[in-house]
Amino acid sequence: MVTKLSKRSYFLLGSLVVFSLLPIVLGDNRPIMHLLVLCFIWSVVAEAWNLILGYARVLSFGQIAFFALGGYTSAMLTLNWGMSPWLGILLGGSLAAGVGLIIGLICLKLRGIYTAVVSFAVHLVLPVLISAGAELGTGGTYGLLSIPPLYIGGYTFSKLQMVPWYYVAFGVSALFLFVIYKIINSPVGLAFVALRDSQPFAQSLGIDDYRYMVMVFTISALITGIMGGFYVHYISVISPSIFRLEVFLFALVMVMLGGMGRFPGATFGAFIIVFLNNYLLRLATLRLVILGAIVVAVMIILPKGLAGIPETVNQLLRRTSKRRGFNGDSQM
Amino acid sequence: MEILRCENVTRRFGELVAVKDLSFEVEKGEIFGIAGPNGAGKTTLFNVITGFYRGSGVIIFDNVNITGLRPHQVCRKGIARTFQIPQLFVTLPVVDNVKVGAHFGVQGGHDERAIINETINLVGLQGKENVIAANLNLFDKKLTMLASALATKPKLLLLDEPIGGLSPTEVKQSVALVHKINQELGLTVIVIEHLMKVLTKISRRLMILHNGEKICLGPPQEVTNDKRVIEVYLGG
Repeated sequence: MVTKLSKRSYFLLGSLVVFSLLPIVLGDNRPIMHLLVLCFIWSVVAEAWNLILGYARVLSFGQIAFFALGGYTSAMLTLNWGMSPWLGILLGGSLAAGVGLIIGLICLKLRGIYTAVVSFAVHLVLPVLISAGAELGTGGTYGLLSIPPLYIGGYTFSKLQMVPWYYVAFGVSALFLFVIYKIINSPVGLAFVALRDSQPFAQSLGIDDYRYMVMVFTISALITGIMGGFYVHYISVISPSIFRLEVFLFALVMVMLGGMGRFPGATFGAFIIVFLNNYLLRLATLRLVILGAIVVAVMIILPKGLAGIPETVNQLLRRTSKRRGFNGDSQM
Repeated sequence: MEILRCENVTRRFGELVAVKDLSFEVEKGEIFGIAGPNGAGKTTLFNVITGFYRGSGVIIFDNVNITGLRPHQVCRKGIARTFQIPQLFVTLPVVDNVKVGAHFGVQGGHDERAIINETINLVGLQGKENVIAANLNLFDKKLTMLASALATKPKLLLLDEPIGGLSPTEVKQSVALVHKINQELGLTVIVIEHLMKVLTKISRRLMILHNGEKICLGPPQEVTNDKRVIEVYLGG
């Protein structure tokens, strides 16, 4: 237990160092830097989804809606009212959190697939409202263009200089991944897992299921909404196409590929999907077929995802040793 | 002195009346047995007391009306329970299963670590703290469930068929454990059990339910000689 934990923190510390030094190795390699920035953003979105779907096992299908809410809010506030992007991101995250809270309240007594239906309804309704709301400054069906980039002090970020973008994206996502990690390992995370494993047992031991249902939706929506805001100021455009099925499925696949409820599995998933998607781009629509096949193959071979590989291997070993009649350490 | 009083408790499932106008009292410090054929309403009664089911009637615990409270609130008032089919946090190690009880079930500042260690030692799970609950055998699963319940520092413990499916040695250990919990911790215990032999041995008083109704309540010898009880059990 103790060695396992320290192994994990070594790994986290190691990746922190590697990613901090990466620009020195890569130089200002813009295409790669761009992909890495996307990896950072999506890894947080995927881990926030993992928190609610993998740890709490609450079927939230509203994650892309939270992402878009954060993005649209911040884009509209900065474009139409000249607000600072940083403030816009915070307000976008707050709005997403508010919607998450409401969904959580509606889902209090719902379980399983019903929470998916309620949250996906938001995903389905939002693009319709946004497309119809051009007069309110949503950009309608065409979306919003020239969303201002971030700035720090006197420096304004620009696509011509990717290293600063890289570091700010890295900093923001490292911060939120750390927050998610802390939540998972806190009593709040313990309550999520307890309710997931056995709701009656958890309740009988003093856990208020309503409270944590609302909490997990709010936290996950807040973080996802903030990343949505960050994303639009980086990409500089947003349109209702953010709601297309492809985006939704990619993010979901990141979580499943990485391993549900296995931090930092979804982060691995995000890196793999972002890079794979990019290198398969030239194959046009065939790309989706190939990605789909890869996902199916991985789910069959590694049902616990990439982060579950050690566990899957252990299980296989135990099974074969049992079959051979060894006295396997089934207790351990 | 009474610790739990149920007044006219009724719980229906559609047409079926699972618990019917049931009134009884449990005295502080006793082991109170509940028996009855399948479908007599024993587990339903536990679920009503612990807030999992809403029912009509009044439930008073420790001079506080706990009718209609939700399960986590009932727990914090001082009632802990176990489940007939072992409920566990299967992906978590034993120590974290117990931690849930120690963290969420106890009100006020307590030394969580100490509570966890105490309860694990009490039920005899020391050395298995880091075993993932899914990998435990049935007996250890039941012990883990019990340890988690005890970690909430209850005044009243409800055990739902604690020895079902256990070997004779394990039954003996469980009975000894229930006695220990009752005597050393001073906990009041209500036990649902099918095995009359065990139940008559451990309980101070016994209540027999049949079709949701109380047909007899008293000391074990009295109950086992009751005509209606014999009828229900042997089929009259």
